[in-house]
Amino acid sequence: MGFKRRRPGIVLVTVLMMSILIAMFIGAAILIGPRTLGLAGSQDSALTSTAAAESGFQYAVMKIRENPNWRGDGSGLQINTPDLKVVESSGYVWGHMTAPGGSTSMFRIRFNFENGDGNGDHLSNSTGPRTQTPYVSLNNLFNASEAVVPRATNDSASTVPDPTVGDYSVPAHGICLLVEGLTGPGTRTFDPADPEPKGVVQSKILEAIFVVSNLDDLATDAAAMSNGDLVANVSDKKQVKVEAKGGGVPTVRSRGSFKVEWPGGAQGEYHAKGGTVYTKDGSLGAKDASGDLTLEVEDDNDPFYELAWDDLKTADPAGETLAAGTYVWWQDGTLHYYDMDYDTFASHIKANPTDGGDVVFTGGTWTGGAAGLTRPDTLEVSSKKLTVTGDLYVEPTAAGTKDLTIIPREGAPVEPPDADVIEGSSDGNSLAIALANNLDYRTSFFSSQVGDGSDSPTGTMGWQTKGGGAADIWWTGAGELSFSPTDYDNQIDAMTDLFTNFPQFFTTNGFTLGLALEKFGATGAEGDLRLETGDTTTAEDLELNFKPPSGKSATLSSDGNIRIGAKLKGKGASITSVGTLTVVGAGADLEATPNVEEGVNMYAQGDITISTLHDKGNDKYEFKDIKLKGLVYTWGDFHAKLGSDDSNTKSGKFGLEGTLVAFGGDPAQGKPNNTQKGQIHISAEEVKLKFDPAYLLSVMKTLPDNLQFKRTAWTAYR
Amino acid sequence: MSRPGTGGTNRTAIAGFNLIELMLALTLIAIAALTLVALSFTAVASREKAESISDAMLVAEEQLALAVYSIETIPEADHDAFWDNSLTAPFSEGSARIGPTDYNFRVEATDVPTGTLAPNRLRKLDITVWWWSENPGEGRVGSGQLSYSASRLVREIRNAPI
Repeated sequence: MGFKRRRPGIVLVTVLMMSILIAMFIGAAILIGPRTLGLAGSQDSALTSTAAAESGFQYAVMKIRENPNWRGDGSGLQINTPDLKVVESSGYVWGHMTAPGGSTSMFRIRFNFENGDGNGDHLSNSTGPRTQTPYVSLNNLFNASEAVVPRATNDSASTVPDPTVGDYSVPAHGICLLVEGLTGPGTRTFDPADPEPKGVVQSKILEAIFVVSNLDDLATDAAAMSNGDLVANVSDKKQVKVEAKGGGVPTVRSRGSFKVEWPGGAQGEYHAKGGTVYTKDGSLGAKDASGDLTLEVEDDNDPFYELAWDDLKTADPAGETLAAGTYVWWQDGTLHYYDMDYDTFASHIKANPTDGGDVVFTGGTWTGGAAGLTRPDTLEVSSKKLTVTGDLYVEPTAAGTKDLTIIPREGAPVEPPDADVIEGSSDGNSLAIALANNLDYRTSFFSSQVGDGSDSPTGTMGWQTKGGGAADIWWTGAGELSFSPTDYDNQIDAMTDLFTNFPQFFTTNGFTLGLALEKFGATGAEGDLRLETGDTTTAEDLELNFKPPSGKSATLSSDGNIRIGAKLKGKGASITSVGTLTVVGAGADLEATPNVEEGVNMYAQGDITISTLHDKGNDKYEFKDIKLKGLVYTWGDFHAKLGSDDSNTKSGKFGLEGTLVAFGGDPAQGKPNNTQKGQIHISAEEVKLKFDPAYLLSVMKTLPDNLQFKRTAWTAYR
Repeated sequence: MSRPGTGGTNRTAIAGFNLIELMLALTLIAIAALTLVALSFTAVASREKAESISDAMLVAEEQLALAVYSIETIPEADHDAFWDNSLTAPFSEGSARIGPTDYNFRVEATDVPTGTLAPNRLRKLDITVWWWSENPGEGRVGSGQLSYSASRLVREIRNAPI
């Protein structure tokens, strides 16, 4: 009989196998439990580090509002409380926060490129602690041009090898902030002297680009403001058109009158859809082309935009400098220097038309001439072309020269020669005839002069010339010129007598007969030297180009007058002058460079004159178009000459996107007491003004308190 | 053919081995089962705590964002009252229920001594979220401390977006 064969250990083996399975379950449970908690911890890290990075943004924007040039360049502990500490050092920022439950987090920001002094970050290399992040922030708030956002190398040196190379840019007047939020065991302790985290950290990078959100609050939204009259002479059937960027109300403000005139004195058209015009009496000397214009009386208590000289960003005299004087380009491409202001030079060169001065550039090389002039690093020179690559201060010379003049050899006339005046004559009669023939010149001439009040009716200014009667001359002020001699011949007689027999008239008013003759066209157009040397170089053959590197500014500043007889080109540049500013040949060659816009801000304590006259040769002239982008601000008068009385000379179009202010005095002193200065006079085929306050930031040294920022881009890494 | 005596001895030995084997197996099974049960409780507790922390962070994130938004868009009439005075009371507090759990939260705003003037000041927001206890920082047997906290800075903004 057979028996069932037993299998000893089968139960144990089975149980052991089951035990292995159970052990696997246990192992899995042991592993899964902490991981579940770990996931929660990971979420915690993301939230905490994001909050830390956000805190870094808040801190940075707060600091930039306090100091618009801020780049993390404070020194040491900036905030020191038990639960919040912030350290700045050489362009680096570390913040350390402790939450009520004891959890800790940090943020860190880096501005320093570590690529030497300046070089895009305006910082020297750090000698203190550094962060170990390649993410570099950029403060481009004061620049009117966009700038590349750089990245540092990932090696231990962590330098920015080339600040001009990057994948994207921060816009003009923008800030790119990259803030790293950190959490984890490495943030548990914080040593302000060595603020880097100690140990393992979890990181979250937030990047945002901020721009100014309330530019409109920085200035009254007027495309043009004139303390005196605002007069635009445009071609027949053409208009003055005003717009406001961003859908604001197109506005023009004048404390005097506002007129648009067609040839022959006919009333022209003004077009500003839904716009408002403020004048001294609420009237408009133009037809309302849009039909929905609002006319208001300018309130004397409502200030214009007051940009004082001290608030203006100017070139540092201790920085790069160029000797003041007159720089003359000759036809052969040589540059000749004269240590003279323009008026002195004009008189000198007319008497000595072959004087070659001191040749400072010849054969494609800067020689410095006999005077040994040094070429500043921020000025590049090539044949008939000057390129300004950074701030440049015009340094007065030992001879007392303060002006900067850059012109062709035969001068740079602001308008064609007037066929009606007597050329070359310097007697009072020629000036009298010139003024008698031109109402605008006459108005301009007498409205700014001081009378002796000897025999004038109350409320007028004047001079007693021939002892009373018909030959006396007096006037009633800007815009209300009224001679006592009413007929043409008697006006000439009275003025001739005044100019030739009363030298105290010129002494009192601070100028010479010669200058008056030149200014008012009695000896040809202003700026026209007429040396008859045969040199055919014109302003249009020359170029002054502003080309700052990415993220840098280019400001040309002078303590005297600035006269530029060359094509003015550039973007994000500024010209500031303690005296007058005259730019001739500023017209863009639209055929060669369509839609080009000259992005140059202009600020002058004296008058600003812009002419786009183009000498076509053979006594043929035309005015080119110009489209300016920027702030044009003068304490005196603004003249744009893109047209003339000569119907044979083609007029140009005038465009300005920005703000035009003829303040009429020192803005630091508030509203001027009278309206004699601060006139705007534009002669052009047509005029287009578009208000955009963004350019104000380009010239301001500090930002207003009410500045606010908004994020325009937002990215999170990791 | 086997001998009877010999065969009886073998059967006894085999039976004895089976008993020991069975007892050893039961012991192993008991140990494994008890360990598994204990771990199961621990795993469940861990999972509950992890879920609670996640939920607490959601509450914290939401309430912190709400506080920041409230401060950045504070009505002009209330602006000075908030920014000019130190806050003794919490900026906001309350509770939010997620699933079966009530999460208590409290947001406090404290001055940050930046030295800047209005309207350019900073405050530090601290949020604390706690659950299964009356007060933050109190623990629960088997779960440890059931609270979560976070901080961030907020900047003064007057009459302007972000």
